[in-house]
Amino acid sequence: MMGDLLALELRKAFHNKWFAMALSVGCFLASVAAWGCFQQFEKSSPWLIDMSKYYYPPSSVSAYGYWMVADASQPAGDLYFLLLPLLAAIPFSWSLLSERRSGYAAHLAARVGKTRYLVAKHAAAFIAGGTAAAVPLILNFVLCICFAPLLVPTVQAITMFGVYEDALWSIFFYNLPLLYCGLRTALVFLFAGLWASAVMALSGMVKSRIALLLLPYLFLVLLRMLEQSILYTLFELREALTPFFYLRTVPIGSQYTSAWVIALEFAVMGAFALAVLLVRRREDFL
Amino acid sequence: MSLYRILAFDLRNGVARHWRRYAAIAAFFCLSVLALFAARKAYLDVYPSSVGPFTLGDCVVGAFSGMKEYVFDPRNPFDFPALWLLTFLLAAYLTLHYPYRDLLGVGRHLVVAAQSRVGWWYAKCLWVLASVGLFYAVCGAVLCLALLLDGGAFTLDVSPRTPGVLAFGHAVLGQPGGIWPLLVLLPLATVALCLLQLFLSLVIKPLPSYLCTVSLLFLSSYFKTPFLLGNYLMAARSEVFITGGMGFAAGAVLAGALIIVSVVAGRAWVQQMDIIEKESIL
Repeated sequence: MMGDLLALELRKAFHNKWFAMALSVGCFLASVAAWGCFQQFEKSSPWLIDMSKYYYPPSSVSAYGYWMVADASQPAGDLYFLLLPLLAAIPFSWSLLSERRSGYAAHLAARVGKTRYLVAKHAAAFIAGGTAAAVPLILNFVLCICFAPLLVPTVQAITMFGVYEDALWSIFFYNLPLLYCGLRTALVFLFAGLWASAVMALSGMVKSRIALLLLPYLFLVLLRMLEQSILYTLFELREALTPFFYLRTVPIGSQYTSAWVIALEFAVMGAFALAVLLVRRREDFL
Repeated sequence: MSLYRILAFDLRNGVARHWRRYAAIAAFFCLSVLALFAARKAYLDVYPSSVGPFTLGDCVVGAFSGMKEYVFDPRNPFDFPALWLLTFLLAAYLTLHYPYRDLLGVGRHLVVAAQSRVGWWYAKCLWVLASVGLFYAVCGAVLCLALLLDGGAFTLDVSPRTPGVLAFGHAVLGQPGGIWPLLVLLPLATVALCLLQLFLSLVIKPLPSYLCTVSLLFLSSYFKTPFLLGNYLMAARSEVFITGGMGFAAGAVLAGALIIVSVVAGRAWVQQMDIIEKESIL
């Protein structure tokens, strides 16, 4: 029963034009970023390989360094991470509000039970949001390995990569880079999924679907503004608080990624979605 | 039903009923002023007693400072100017949803009652103008209040140290005409941005049009080019402060051209679109 319901919601989540739109925008930006890296690679690789015995090892042109998460040289990559919370919420986070307003939620909840219906909805939003965010990263990685060698990055080229020891999981970047890519992609998937689910949980609190998707996003930009203009200036807070930066490897200014901040934010998003789900199952859907 | 009656309806339903949004804008500008004071405190820590109270000109420049030109350096990755970006994302959000929602509801009947689609469209364009005007009025009120509390002077002159406080780079002060070109260009370019978004929201729906706005503002902050409208919305890139900065004439021409294109193209689109079959999602 639950499996059928989840399959139904997943079908709705993956077969709607908003999922296609979010995925297309993400894949377009990932492709543009890869194209920019390719041009950069063409310009720099002969020089780097020729000079390798003097300055940099050949691994400094490794595909791992050109991957969107580790590379900060492409505006398309920067734009992708700026839009990421929106791209995660667009596929399916609006559907609960939509179905409650149309009366469809009341019908379905009466048939399968409110808890099952809500769990299936949140699970579908989680998976659709995570997929819309993670697939462009995988596409970008595949495109990068089409032109750059898949060499294991070496610490001698640390200034080329910008992945320093205080970067999250940097030990894997220089030892098990494929695992590093997997972990980073999983982190983006988890953030996007939790964000999509938390946005869906706000459904009962706002009336408009546009406001439902955009207000939480504007809150994130506000958090970045506070972090950039007030918290860092007045209190010298160095931990990156927003996903625009902590989902990436390269540090911005003197900020760094703290695993504790990420864990806390993920826990808050998950707990919020769960708490609202528990409260909402007692609500009258009619 | 005349254009004025539709406009009056829009002002009642699209502005007066949304007073909470303007209250939120006021709260945001309070944070913006706080950021300016934080920047002054950081500057004073390095150069003690070199900065006095702000003037009104300082506050305006601080609220719309943006960022100096970004030059790529692998050791200095791009960091988008969140305060500036949020300021214009809020202005764009204010004018995003109402026209489309109106067209799905009462606006449809208004079009029939007025027997003029063009009148409905012009009323929406004027509504955008009024909304942006009110946005700047709220901003001005908050900045004046902050100035009263700070004990600054109500003058549009910019203090010599302000570009340093706001990290403008190689700033030049004392351009003839002061910051007036910036004061004219800011609302003009904001209206152009919002009208372009209004037109796109009818063609590709509100949410994708908002994605276009975010992208346009982001690209404007990344690339200093006269072809990206956002560059004219930054004090840090204005010719008022920077040699070779964004000129008033070029900004006015670009904003004017965008306004004309958006209004004319929107009019043509509204005349041929199917208002009965419009979908209601996003």
